[in-house]
Amino acid sequence: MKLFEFRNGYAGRMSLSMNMRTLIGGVCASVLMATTGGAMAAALEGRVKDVDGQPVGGVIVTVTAKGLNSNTLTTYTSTNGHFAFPDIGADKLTAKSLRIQKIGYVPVGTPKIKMQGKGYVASVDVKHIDNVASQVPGSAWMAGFPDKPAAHSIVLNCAQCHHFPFPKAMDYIAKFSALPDDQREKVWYDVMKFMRVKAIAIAPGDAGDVSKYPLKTFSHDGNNGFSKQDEAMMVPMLTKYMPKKFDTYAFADYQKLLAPIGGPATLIREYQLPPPDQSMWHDSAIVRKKDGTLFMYAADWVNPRMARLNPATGELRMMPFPKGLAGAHTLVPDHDGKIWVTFQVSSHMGRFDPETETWQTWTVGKSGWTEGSEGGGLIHSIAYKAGFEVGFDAGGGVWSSLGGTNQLVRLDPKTGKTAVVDGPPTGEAPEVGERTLVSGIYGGVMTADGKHVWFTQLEGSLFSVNTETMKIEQIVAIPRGDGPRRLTIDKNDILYVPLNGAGSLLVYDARAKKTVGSYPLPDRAAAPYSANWDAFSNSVWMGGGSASRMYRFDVASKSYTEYPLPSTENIIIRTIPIDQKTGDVYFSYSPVALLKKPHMMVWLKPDTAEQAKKTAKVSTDASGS
Amino acid sequence: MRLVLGISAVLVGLSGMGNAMANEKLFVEKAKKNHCYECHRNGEAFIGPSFLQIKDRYKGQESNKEFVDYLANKIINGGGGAWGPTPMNSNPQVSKAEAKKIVKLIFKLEKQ
Repeated sequence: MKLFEFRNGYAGRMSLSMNMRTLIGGVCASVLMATTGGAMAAALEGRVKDVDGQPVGGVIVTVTAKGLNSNTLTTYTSTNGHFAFPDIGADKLTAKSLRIQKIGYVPVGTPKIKMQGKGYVASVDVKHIDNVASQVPGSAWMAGFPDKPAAHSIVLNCAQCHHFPFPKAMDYIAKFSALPDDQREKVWYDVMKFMRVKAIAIAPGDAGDVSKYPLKTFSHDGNNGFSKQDEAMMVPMLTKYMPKKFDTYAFADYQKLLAPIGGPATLIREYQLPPPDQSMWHDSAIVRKKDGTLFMYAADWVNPRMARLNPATGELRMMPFPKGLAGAHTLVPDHDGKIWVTFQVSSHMGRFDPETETWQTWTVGKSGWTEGSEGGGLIHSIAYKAGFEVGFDAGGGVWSSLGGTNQLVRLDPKTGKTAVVDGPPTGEAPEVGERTLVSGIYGGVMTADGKHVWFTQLEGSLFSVNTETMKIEQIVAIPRGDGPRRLTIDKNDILYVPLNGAGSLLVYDARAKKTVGSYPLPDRAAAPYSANWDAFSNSVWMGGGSASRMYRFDVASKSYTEYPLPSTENIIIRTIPIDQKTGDVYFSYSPVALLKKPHMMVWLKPDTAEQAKKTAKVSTDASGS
Repeated sequence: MRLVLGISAVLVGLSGMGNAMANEKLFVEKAKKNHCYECHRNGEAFIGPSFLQIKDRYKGQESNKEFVDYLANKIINGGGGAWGPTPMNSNPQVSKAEAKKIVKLIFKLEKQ
């Protein structure tokens, strides 16, 4: 059996469509989808079973069709193999196509579909496979690394731009795997060199023309996200633990990386964003307008525009930024329904009024890309309060990180005045200094009383600053390599800090000033970038981009549920705004511009008691013939 | 006669220089487009050997069709071992014709 046959990212998952070309079997379906013209919202449902007739639970079932308000609609099969889209309006859809994915399974033959009442019912056969090498996400190949910060550092530094390892990387790694240890180590150091060049090559326009920089530009730690100190941690680990071949992965081994899957009432909608390919849809936000309509916004870091989506209708509008604003990074709404945006490249803060569609902007920090140890300000993340809204301190100030200089900046929006606070030292080499990208202050939150902001440093600590005295108060050391990025806070000032490198959730009580616990994800290389607290279900959501799934941490039971996504390659998931009234989560796929796709906004409605009731009502005994 | 020859020699020399500049310009354009400068430089060793180092090592082989083919395949498929343990990345986006053109232009590069 050709194991590489279906390698395409991890599109070893098979696709079926109803009117159709199967990748296995090669039999065309000749089922006609007649419409009944029925008045009710006709359901589409079905059952997935294996060739022995056993039901298969946890299968990702995705519908695409003309007439859907989103590009795709996805749910999961229940433990009895059943799936249902109760309100899909199946009789009004045309060009329907069904895609089935589950790691460890491939489809067999033709799905049998028949009309039942006013809806449609499908029966899908799959076959279990034991070698899942062509299907597993990149994170799975990191499972053999030790649980140490030096190994975590690899996920932290590599997964911020791409899955690691991804197919091209695997092909390259296989090229030198047979070399003796000392030579393999030398190659990994050269890979680090190459990645330093890539970090500059991705800069927009002329700034990305690497040929015009003197070579010493690339070896200066101030121009890179990781330092020589980090390379000295990562390279020995890579030399010792990176797999040498990528053609075999046992199904049973992959099961160890999984949490229980979301229930069959889960609904995931993906909405395609428009070209150009070279975009990076970074952060997302949701805002209800005065009339109650919920809109989702996403910011393009590369092209100066914001996307506004009505998830209920699928209506999508592009909204350009005012001239001169570049590098849109963070979007956070405030309690008045206005959206605050940081512009990382041009060094601005912007506040957008969705009702009048007007902007107010302020210059904040030093502009431009990092230059040696000088460092552009690179205004990064705005501190927000529980519920993901902009935090204002007692004087009405807004706090943000300057990722390029290891500083925080406080902006007074009334006067435009700014004040800067140095972040704690992270132990960089003297010739590099502390005011650089490597020290990287990242995400921030504000306590309920507005008196303290807590920020993370990518290569350092979790620390707080008093918003009145402007002085550092607490410093919580985090091992270098574990990589805290974008944290969240609940209404009791409990901090939830996803460790991007370590693949765990650090929980810290900011009032009691002590760590509550650390909760590792089942897949330690999933690279959780950010977290958001949901008041509706008292849980914390994280994106596991490198594992192509979302995780929900239930605070009461301290347990994870996972929500694998229908799109898998290249995805990085950044901020996750949550509708605190319903517990629905929203996020965008955010691959770096060079990777070109997928560019989609996503609305994930997790299983709730209400949804489960609706699903159970629809006929459950679809047997096909 | 000697004056005419002298002037011809100068003119040939000048057009040679013009050709060298045009070749280098074309080479730089192709190398930038195909991401070659992420590992190589024209005159300095970097992650990979410099193009002048490559030209020097294989001096005299540029008229050998099979050798040009071999180097063109290296560009497309990558490889390892010729200059150290670090393999060269594959560049599948480069066509055979383009790769051969690039190889020939390497041999036309002049020392600065």
